[in-house]
Amino acid sequence: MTVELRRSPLAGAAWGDAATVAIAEVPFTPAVELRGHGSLQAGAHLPEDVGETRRLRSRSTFARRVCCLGPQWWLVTGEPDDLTLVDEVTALVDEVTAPVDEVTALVDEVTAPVDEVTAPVDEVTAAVTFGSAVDVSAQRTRIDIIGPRWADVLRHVWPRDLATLTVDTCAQGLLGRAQALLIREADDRVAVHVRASFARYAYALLTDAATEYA
Amino acid sequence: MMLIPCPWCGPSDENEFGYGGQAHVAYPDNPHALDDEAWGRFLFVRENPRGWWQERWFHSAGCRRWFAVARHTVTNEIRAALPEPT
Amino acid sequence: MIFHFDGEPIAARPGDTVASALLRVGKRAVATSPYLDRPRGVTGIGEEESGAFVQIVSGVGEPMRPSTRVEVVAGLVVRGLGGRGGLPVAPDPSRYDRAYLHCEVLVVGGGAAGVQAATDAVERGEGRIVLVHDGPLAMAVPDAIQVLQRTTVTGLFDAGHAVALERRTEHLLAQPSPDVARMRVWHIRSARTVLATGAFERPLAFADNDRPGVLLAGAAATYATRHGVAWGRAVVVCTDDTGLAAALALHDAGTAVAVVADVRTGLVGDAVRALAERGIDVRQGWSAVGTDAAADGGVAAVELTPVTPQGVVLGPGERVPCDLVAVNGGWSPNVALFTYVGGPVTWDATRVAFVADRARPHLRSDVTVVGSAAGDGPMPANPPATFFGAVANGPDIASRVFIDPGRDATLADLHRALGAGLRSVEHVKRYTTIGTGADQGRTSGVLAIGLMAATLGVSPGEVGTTTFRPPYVPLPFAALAGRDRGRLSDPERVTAMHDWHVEHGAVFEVVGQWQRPHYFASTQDESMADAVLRECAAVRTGVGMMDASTLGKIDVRGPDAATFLDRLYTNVMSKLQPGRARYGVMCGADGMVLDDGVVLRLAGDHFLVTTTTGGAARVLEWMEEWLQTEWPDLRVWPTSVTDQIATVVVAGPGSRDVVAAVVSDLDVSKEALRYLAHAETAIAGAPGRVTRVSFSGELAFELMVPAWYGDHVWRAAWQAGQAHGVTAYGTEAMHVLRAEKGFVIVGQETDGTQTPDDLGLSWLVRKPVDRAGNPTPDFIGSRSFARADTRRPHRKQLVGLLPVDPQRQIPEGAQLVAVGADLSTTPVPMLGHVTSSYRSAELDRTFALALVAGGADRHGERLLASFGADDAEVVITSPVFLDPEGARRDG
Repeated sequence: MTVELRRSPLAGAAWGDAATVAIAEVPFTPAVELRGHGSLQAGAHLPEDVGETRRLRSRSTFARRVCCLGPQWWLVTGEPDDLTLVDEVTALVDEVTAPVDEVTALVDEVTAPVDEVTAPVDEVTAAVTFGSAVDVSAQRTRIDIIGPRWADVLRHVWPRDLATLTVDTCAQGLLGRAQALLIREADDRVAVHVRASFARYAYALLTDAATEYA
Repeated sequence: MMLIPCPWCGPSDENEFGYGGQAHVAYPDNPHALDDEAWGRFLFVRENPRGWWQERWFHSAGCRRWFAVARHTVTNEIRAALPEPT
Repeated sequence: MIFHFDGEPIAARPGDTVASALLRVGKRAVATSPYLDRPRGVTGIGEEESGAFVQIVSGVGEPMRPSTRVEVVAGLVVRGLGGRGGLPVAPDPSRYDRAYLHCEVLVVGGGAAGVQAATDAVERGEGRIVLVHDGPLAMAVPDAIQVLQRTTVTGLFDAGHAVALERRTEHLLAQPSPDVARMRVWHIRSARTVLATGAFERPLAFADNDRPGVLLAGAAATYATRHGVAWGRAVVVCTDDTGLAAALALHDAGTAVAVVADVRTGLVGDAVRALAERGIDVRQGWSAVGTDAAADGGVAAVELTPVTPQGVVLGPGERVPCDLVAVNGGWSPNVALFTYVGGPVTWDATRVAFVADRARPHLRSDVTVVGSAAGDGPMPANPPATFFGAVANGPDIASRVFIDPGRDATLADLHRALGAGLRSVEHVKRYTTIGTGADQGRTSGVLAIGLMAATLGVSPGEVGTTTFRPPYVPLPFAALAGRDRGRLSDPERVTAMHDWHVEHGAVFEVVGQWQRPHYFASTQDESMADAVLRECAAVRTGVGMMDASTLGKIDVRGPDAATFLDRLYTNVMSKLQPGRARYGVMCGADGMVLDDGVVLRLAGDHFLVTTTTGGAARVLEWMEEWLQTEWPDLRVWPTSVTDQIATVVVAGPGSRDVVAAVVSDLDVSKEALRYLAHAETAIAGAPGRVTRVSFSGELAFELMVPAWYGDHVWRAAWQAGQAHGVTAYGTEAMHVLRAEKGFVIVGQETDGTQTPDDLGLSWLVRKPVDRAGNPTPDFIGSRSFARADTRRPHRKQLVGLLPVDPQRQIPEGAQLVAVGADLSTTPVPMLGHVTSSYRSAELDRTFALALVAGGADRHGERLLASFGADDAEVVITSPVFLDPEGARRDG
């Protein structure tokens, strides 16, 4: 993949000052939507509650995260330079059927939390039926709100209770009039994942809401 | 703005949802076995009670799951949702 | 500081409202009544104000505000209102916004009872406590309480939802700030809500009770003690002990109190003694029956007289000169917010007030009332009197007794309503308009009810109250809109190629929320009509490019994907081979067309479904509804990839050459890439897929790449197309081209009442058995094709129309009637309507598509298109105007 051919929805736009609040696109974040089959026992390390996220370890030590968006529905995201995330995650899902407990074991291996030592992902060779894994890296873009005043900004455009958006949790809802996924990445950082076609609207909305807090 | 108790995402503003009308109206097993009147009733006729009834909501801006709740059509009081679909 | 009132500079102190400043300088006549042109002045101290309304002229301006709520700030310019304000003409440059707040306890009202309730909640550890107060908060509160000052709760709604309006800058700046929002609408969700909204003092009914200088007693006392307003000579007219207290306060603050006329007798207690000590004349069993005017129209004297407790005038009275008549007719708890959520009220005869009925259970147990709003508080030394005013007998008196001065509504109006036979308080309200103005019944409501009860000989409780409705105070539309204005009023969805379109003269149309190029103006002066003809000609004779990224795209995969699609589409998708695509139509259970699009099969268990631009969300939800509620055992998962993939259409006889130039390792020749075939390949170095599919009827290709590469691939194709005279085309040209081929657009030719058969698409509907004699799978809509209504003759069917005058363009939506129909006698039998209408470059004439009753069998017949006062004859034809064999699509 030759990077210079790509253009992100906001072309890396940034605004503000992280000492108070900054709004900045994080372009080209890889992402995969995972769906499980109803009868599948989710791997022990896959978050089962909507809004829960887990940090994952990859062989190349890029930070990855899997978010539970709904029952049997997850989004795996990572850092822009994590060029193998999509292939590694989609390789889990293939047309060959495997018994449920084999599936569970293999999912466990891939999705172990950061502090557990497990087999590296690329040593998983058996194909399993999980459901579906779809590359949605360009479907959304990521806009980060960074700085101590992140909540002040969101309070103008996000009707849900921000007190429940603790570190390592996520929430879906409406950002103004656009559907969005929020992930609380850290104390002072929230990642807003919004569909690419809505990115300019979301960015304009957020920077406008941040005007009084810059 | 009602608060709809999504079984997975918790109470959420009603504008995060699509509305699905009367709950528990199952698609007939064999539509071709129904006469026009019965089929027409399935297509077009729903209850419209004053008081408690069961209705469906779809969490379009959230988990995208269908579920049913009991709502009082006069007071808009909403009671526990049933997590299984329909 | 100085502000201007009616062109005159007025000195004001910090903390002044326009009302307090005007009173202090002795400006009594502030405004004029709406219908009777009577002078009016300040009557109260809050939103119960019924006389002194002003128009704010400085800054953004506001057409009508009670002067009691306008804080004075340097540069403020106001004008007294003559009944109605005028809307500002200049655009409002202010910022407005909205904020969301979640808490466990919301307390409305920052008076003593509210602060106490909030503090108690903090001590109980109830979580997040929010206190909302409509002015600057006078008391200190614990830090743990979040306070919203200058914020008025305008409504209570479902499930603990409250809406409040915060005025943020008017007490600081006369002019709008570019950075700070002028007003903020708060949307609050609280687990429980405490209403400490206080009570309003009531006026009394007597002749000429609306003159400037007649104020509510408590308000007058507050003006005296807090704002340093002094009158020359005051008369206090009261029915309860707070009137006595007001008299003391006025006296002690420097206003001489000539008489206190209290309708009650046998008064006892400290206040009575204190008045005696000050030598103030207290007349028990007396009240007011009229006032005289001074030169400025304000009060010069009040007529006092002995009265019975029922308000019968005993005489003779006394004319007492004064410049202030401080009236106290009792207190009405402010229960509006409580009643918004169905909270019951009841008449408390002891307190002479409608109070929240805490004995009666009601739905919203999360909303409670405290303080004077609940009628709480110790009983006074002397019980309040059930007395609403004394009116002397005589002609033309009732028409000068004002019940709602803001509406110029009088006792005469009330008598007329009752005389007309009206008995319901709701009818009387609407007949007299009492309570429908700015005070919204705060002072006029219970006064009217009391007078009505007295006239009818019943208790006020039997008359009852009218229904209060939000908003509690007026909400400017700009505040409600917040920042959802202009370009933020609805999202503008854009594709990856948007900037290129802008650079190249695109004129956009809004499709759903998407910005789509409607046409490209090649010069500044090129009209849309010319541009579209040029674009169409380019596609049919050369090569054109169009951005089709907005169409819905859904990734459908899983072992049961084919089975699933077979149930949704009218044609059989399971027979589609990987590497091939197929056009399909979906119907609802009622057999009507829901959406259409091309389906690509990528693998045995993997499809890419496309939908119309406007139908994308609806189709995905349709899929999820069936999978979750009816077919949960199917192993198939739909995922939206509408934004993931950018799509470039290259269409026209020259399209193959252009595509070949950007596709390096795929043979796109006629033999290698056949119609409806698709293949993965690198496109200008990006990973992509090429499909041969055509909506224009010409040879055409769709290039799909991840949206990150959309801009690059578009520009690469455009560059490659330069050698072939490539032309960018928009949605209008696309509409014309497909219409020339008789292709329908869902939402243009359809409105949810057309079956595939109506649209000439029965070839797309599977037969009950296939060619091998096996039954085909059932699909949604099939049963409805057999309904009597769906099979009736003369259903509207898709046809083409050629206007008899080939240059006449019939408006879309025109009705079709029989030639020679009598258009003057309605109803005129309508035989159909025009769904699409264009000018064709290729045919060099106009044409249209239409739905006509039994149209499929009427080719060659003439009809009359009727539109407005005009009409034109048309000939019914096949909807396919061009290349019926489909030879062009192979190039």
